[in-house]
Amino acid sequence: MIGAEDSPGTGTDDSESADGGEPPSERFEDVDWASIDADGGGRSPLRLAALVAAGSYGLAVASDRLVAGGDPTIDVAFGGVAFVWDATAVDWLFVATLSVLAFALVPLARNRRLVAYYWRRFRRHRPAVLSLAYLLVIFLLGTVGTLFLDPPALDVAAAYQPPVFLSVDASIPTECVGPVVEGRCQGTWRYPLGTTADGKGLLALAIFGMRVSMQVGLIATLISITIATAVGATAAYAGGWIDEALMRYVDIQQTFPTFFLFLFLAYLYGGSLFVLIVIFGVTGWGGIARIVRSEALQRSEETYVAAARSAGASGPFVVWRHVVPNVSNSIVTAATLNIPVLILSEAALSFIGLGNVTLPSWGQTIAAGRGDLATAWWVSTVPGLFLFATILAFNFLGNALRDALDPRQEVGR
Amino acid sequence: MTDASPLFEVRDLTKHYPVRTGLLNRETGQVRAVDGIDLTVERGEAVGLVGESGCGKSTAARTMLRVEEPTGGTIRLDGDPVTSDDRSRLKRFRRRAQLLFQDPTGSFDPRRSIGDSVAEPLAIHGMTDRARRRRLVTSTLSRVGLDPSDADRYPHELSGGEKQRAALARALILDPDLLVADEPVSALDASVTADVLALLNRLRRELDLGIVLVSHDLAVVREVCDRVAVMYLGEIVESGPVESVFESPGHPYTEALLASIPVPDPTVERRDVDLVGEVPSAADPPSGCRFHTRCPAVIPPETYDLDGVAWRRVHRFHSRLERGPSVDLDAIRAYAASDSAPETAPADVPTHAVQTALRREFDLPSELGDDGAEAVLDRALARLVAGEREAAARLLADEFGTVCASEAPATHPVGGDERQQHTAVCHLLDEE
Amino acid sequence: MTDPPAASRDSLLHVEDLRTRFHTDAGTVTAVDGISFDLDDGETVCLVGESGSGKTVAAESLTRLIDDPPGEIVSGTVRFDGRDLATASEAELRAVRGDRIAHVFQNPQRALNPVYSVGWQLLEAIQLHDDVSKADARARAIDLLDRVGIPDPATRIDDYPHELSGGMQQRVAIAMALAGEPDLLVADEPTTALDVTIQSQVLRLLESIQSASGLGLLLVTHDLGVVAEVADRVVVMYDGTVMERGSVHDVFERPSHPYTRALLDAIPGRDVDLTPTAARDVADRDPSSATDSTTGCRFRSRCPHAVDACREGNQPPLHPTPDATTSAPDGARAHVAACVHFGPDGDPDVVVDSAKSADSGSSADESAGGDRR
Repeated sequence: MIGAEDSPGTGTDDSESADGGEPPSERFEDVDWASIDADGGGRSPLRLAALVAAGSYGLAVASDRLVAGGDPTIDVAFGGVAFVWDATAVDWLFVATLSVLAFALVPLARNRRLVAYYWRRFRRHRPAVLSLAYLLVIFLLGTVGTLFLDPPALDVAAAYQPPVFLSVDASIPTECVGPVVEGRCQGTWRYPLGTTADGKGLLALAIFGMRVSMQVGLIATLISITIATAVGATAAYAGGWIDEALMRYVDIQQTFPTFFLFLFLAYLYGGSLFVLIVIFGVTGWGGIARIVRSEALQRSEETYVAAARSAGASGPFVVWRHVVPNVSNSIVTAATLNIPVLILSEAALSFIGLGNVTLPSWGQTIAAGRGDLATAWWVSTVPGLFLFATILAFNFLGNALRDALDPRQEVGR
Repeated sequence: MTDASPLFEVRDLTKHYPVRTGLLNRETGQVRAVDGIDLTVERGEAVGLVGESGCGKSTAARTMLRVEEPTGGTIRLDGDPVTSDDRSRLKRFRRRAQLLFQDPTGSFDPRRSIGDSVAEPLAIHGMTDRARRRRLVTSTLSRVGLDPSDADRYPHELSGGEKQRAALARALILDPDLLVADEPVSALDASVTADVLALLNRLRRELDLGIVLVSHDLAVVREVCDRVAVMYLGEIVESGPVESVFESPGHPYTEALLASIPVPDPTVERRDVDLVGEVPSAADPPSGCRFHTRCPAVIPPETYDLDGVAWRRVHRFHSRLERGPSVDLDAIRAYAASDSAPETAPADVPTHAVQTALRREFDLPSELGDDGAEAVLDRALARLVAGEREAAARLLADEFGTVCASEAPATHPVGGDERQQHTAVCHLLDEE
Repeated sequence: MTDPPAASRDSLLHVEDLRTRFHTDAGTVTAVDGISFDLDDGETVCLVGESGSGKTVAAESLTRLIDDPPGEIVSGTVRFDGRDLATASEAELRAVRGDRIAHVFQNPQRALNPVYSVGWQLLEAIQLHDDVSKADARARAIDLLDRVGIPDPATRIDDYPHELSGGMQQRVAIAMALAGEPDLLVADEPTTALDVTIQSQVLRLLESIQSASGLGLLLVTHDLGVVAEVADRVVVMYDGTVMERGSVHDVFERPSHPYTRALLDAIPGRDVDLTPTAARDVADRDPSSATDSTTGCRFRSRCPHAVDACREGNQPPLHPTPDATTSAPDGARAHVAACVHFGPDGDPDVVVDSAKSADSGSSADESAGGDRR
């Protein structure tokens, strides 16, 4: 979220070349402010696009939830490939998250020199670049890949198959899909990472688990940073009792036992992913708010903020256009480091049995394979490795981002 | 000359900051950053506001445009009072009066291009036509001596001088009638300074712009301004036409400022300015004339015949007793003890040795030249050694009191020539 | 201001062809590209230049205060008291720093540690260089504070830096520098951050210290008024090299190099003598353009008297100026300027006379952008 969406400036305007010559210049003394006052404001194209997108989103959600009933949201067939998507509440949240992220990337695209500068600094951290590549693969597989793959299916006959290149004592699986050599069941390419006790392919589970992790990580983080930015920036800019009140609330919230809240709600509504995401999002923003406030406090003292005020800008205008973009570096870093915490929390909750058992998340898979560690060790280990790698990747990425985006070494300072 | 009201008029402008201490943040005092100043600017006129750091000039600049809310006083633009009650009126005021900041680097958002930043005031005041904004930015950038392609550059790609020009463009793009420039060239190199000042002069003539130039640099003020006001500790001590004030300063502080300017001529013998000590805190300004604690011309009492240097030192000692931190007698004793020929313990040091140490500590001459004054000083020192600081201070106040410390001075005209007269606030100009 | 003593190889400080480079992400910047000057006991030499001229880097290179990496003293000699500091060992340098050569910086915050009292820091400085008892050191510290003009020194000695004003802090920094009784004091813009009335006090303090103890003073500044007030000799720097060098009277009364003349003219109140690219200061040039392959005179893009000869070769060497016969004959102390017009094939009048006519306001106004690179 570097840069704000509405730039008041000076985009490349092709309309001027219509008359073929140089655009007529205008002197600032010739501006008739009285007539401009009379006209009132307008809307920038980006804001318009955002409004349209939000509107269509609202309509889509409403139609799916309220009107369509039990029918799948999308049910089409291209050639021989059927494409069915029954959107759950979490899926709608995910669509919203991805849309917001897309809008946030627009200013990045505009600000190419700045992005190139940051990229050069980021590139120096090799592990982080690898992590970024890995996470992009995970993301694509998890979001797009799962649309085209079949969800892991129950197949008791194929339970406890070992991963390819490995073998297990033939007594463990009910039936060995691959050849039995010297009393050991060999893994096959049909189930490259083996299967669970239910016969579900671990590869499929891993991929669907990616989706769950992405959903948990991204949605909850987006909720958190939205609230955190609003609270932090407001507290810093407004100061006084508003600042005091907000920060004391943050203190209280940080000490609140979120775990028990989740227990309670899981008891009431079952351990649904939706509940989990919302709770994480709504209770996990305190730390980020403090970071945002600290950065925003420094920015609020900057001369360019005073310059905007003295030009007649209102408080919210200044906060949105000048404070938030300049603290966005810290927000991005905090967000990137928040995601692995959430993924791990979801895994932990699933592991102790509080999650939704039917959910193909990594935590659930690890939990399900817990009892078989001595024999079918791959059931817990494979998702465990994915979990480990993903968390590590996010941490590398976050640390590298923190260095690359460090406001103290920022452009021009 | 028609009887039009001045473009910009400030009367009795005051800005106090509360000092809060304690658990409940109770207000225990006030920092009187700006304590009642008057300023008038006509169309096309440049008025300088000079003073050193801590005098309140930057605060005055921000307060007079209501960028910070003043604690008191009136501000008028074209005769109309400017208040913060009506937001739309205040916004319109902002369009007519702009502020130029000291630090060209900090005054631009590093994430926005120069063109964006310069166009921002237009957008704030409702100009939605992007093409139009772009045209105005282009033409304004040319007028301040920048290349129109600089609109797409980022602040870090521009030099200090270029950024200040861009800042000027941003300040002028709303076509204001008044420009308040807060130290516009102090962050710039000498060669660039000259350019920027020349630009300011030219634009002032072209646009009939009123300018308030805040600066610590008298040479800059002399270059640009028609009139000048000298500030010290929140008050204006001298004001009037630039040449008059600079040629014949009436206030000792103005004289000190003028004498302190390094002259780039090695043959010039500079006047010795006996301006000692630091500027007092604005939270606790001296009584009477605020400058008396440092004034080289502070008026001696008539009852004693003291040599100038001796009197000033005694006076400074007196001010120190009244206003300064408490005297650390133990430290003085320790110092006297370590200084005595046979090493003695601090408690055994004889009183006269402590007194001598005190004299050295406070720069008091060993002999005052007037027996009566000498006796008073001895008594005061004796009281001080006995730990009675207030009694010592009272004694000095009674015997060595000066009108400069007891009464605030009034405004007096300076300079004989009627046209070149200006005013200064000093007891030295009191009529007998 | 004394007359320069007879030339001798035994000056207190002899800097010859000093070169310092910085290796940055954007390329290698040669901040100091071959400067030479001398300084004697009891003498004040001023390094004058605008931001980006390399004067601060030069001052810090003398005792190798530059961080290495990214900085690096590439070549040159810094002969102090018979030793070449540029190649001396770390142990030798430590013996010299503080004890023989002391530094005062622009921001006293750099010298003063905020968590220790002024007295504590002074005592540390004193005891580092002299084996004295704590009581003696404290008495000496109070004397030092008194000497630098701190009021109520015996009371103030226990104050913390933040309790003192900027001028007071700078005085304490000077006191700390004097604690080791150095032979040479290097002051980098010591008064720039101070108010003008305090500035004159601190300058007079430096002068009185110098006349009392006979130490050499190397003052780095951009303010020509300060130079005129305290300097015996002046070294004018631009973009890492010496443009003009000579006694203060020579340089101010008969400024020779076009840059020096422009600096003197740029003081508010006089007309500007620089061509259209004046708007671009040296400091903000793209460092990648400050490569080692700069050809010709560095000032030529801003010089009103630039000719073809200025584009060729390297920076012109320092040539004696027409009034050189009136100053001391020795090369180190003569009045010299690095300009082709003062060389064997040049005509000094091109610079010296034309500027007088240019004074009549040709480029009195600010300039439009102009070419930048």
